[in-house]
Amino acid sequence: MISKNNTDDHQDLLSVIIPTYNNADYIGETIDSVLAQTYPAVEIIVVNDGGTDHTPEVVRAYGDKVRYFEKPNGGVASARNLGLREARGEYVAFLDSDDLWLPTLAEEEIARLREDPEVGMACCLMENINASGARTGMVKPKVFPGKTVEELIAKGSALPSTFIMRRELLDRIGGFDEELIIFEDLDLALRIAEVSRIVILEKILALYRLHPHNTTKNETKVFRYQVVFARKWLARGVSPTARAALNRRLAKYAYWLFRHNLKAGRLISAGKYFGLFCRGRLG
Amino acid sequence: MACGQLNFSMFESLVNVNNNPLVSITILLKNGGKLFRDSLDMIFQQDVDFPFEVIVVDSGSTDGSLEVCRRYPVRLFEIPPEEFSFGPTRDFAFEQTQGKYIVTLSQDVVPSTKSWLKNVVTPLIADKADVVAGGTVLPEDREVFFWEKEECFYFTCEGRAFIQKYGNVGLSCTNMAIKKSVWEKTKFSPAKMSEDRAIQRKLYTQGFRITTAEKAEAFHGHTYTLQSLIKRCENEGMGWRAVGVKYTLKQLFGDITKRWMYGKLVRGIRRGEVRNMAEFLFIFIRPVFLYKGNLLNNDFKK
Repeated sequence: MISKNNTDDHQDLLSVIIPTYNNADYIGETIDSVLAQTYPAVEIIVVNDGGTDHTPEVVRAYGDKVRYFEKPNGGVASARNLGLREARGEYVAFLDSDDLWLPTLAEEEIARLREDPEVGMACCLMENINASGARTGMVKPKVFPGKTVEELIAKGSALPSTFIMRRELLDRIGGFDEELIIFEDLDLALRIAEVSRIVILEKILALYRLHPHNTTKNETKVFRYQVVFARKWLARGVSPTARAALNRRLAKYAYWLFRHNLKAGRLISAGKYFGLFCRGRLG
Repeated sequence: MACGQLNFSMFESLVNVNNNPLVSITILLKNGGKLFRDSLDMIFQQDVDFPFEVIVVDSGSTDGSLEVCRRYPVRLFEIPPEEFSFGPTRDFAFEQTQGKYIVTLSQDVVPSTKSWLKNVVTPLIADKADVVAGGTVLPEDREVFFWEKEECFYFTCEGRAFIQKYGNVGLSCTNMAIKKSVWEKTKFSPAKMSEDRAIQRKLYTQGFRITTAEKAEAFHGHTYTLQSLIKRCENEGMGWRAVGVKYTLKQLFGDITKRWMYGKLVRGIRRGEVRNMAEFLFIFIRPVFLYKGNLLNNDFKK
């Protein structure tokens, strides 16, 4: 797959940044999946975001192959940014500590980045795996990433574990937004889409683990950050279609929360979200 | 979810579920009903000494088939219904396979024995063939369309020349096995339907070995209403055009005037086996709507 002009050339280094928080059961497999890459020049940076389990022992067993950092708990965005500051590679990837790469992910995505200097980021599809590691398929529209600002907003999801980006581009746009506890990945993808092109490899090159310890997100918290995220992008001045899509997403989510609260018998909250749904927009 | 996982661990002992299967079974699904459930059930009872995986690509089931899937250790891919068409979707399913050999089964086809899987892939493993057609047999435990029972469903002559020209086997995705390396050279796309005919032509012209397997049958039988029969025949007609086969007016008249068909119809009526309008009018409907689909239709009816 690697184009032939690489053979005489040196391989540009890829820094794989793995933020983690109490995930010692799975992080070993994640590191192994990076070590098994067919792309030869890879450095691994693990950032422990204030976890309290035996992650340090698991990671230190890899010796020199993994650079390990610890910081007080501050959210996944800040952990990734710390990793970014330490990264030495021309290319940077962020891999969550329970997700896995298939062996050719780095090779195939970097080949696409090399092909076209205008492409700033490559990503691909992910298949779900269960706690025991068996592959269980995927829902295509849900996990399908977007290419443009409009598409990303409309689809409302990004798959950060499959992103490989140019380092200089990240330096230009300034890493993850640490204000956002949720949607930081989508926010980054949007800022990349503003200034460069994203390519999607329409095949499964990474695996997403569904397990009982997956960070379950509190719905009201998700909504709160949905609002923070939407305000940020509305203030940035996106196109009218993207603005409409943002408002539509918020309205949909508000309606969902209205019903959720209604079922739970929390009438005041339900009324609040119904009001938000009726207004239907933030600005 | 909890229920799914419980069942999953139950099957892990029975089936070699891992990420290095030798054989991948692929099924395209939409509202598969009871037969799909029976089919999965039979698949996971297969008596084999190699690991296999099951890949299901669903395009918008609403009848509980997805819940059925989640009770088995299958890899379930859900695609938007509007994205579905036979060739490209089958290619999508094949792209997800990890096995060296791929088996396709229709959602309403139930393997007839526990040795079905072994028998259908044995010629591939032994490298005696590149593609294997498993047979179908009529189920005995349920009602089947009269003309399928009489083995006259394909009494029309449209496909005969094609089958003779391309290997003398009627290859069908209802029950077939193929080497993944061979499929990679042919693919089903761009055929929107009759993708089995399309691939048969490519396989034959590229010199791959097609064979039929012994004892690899699966139960397959339909029941039709007038409406579903018409749809089926139009789609077949369109599919034939897609592979360059023309069904002429002359052939149509030839088919409608086959006397032995009327003999069977009369006997069927006497015995009370012809029970509905679709069965009664079949001798007209099939040729006429084959002709219509072959001449006019541009897209298959879902």
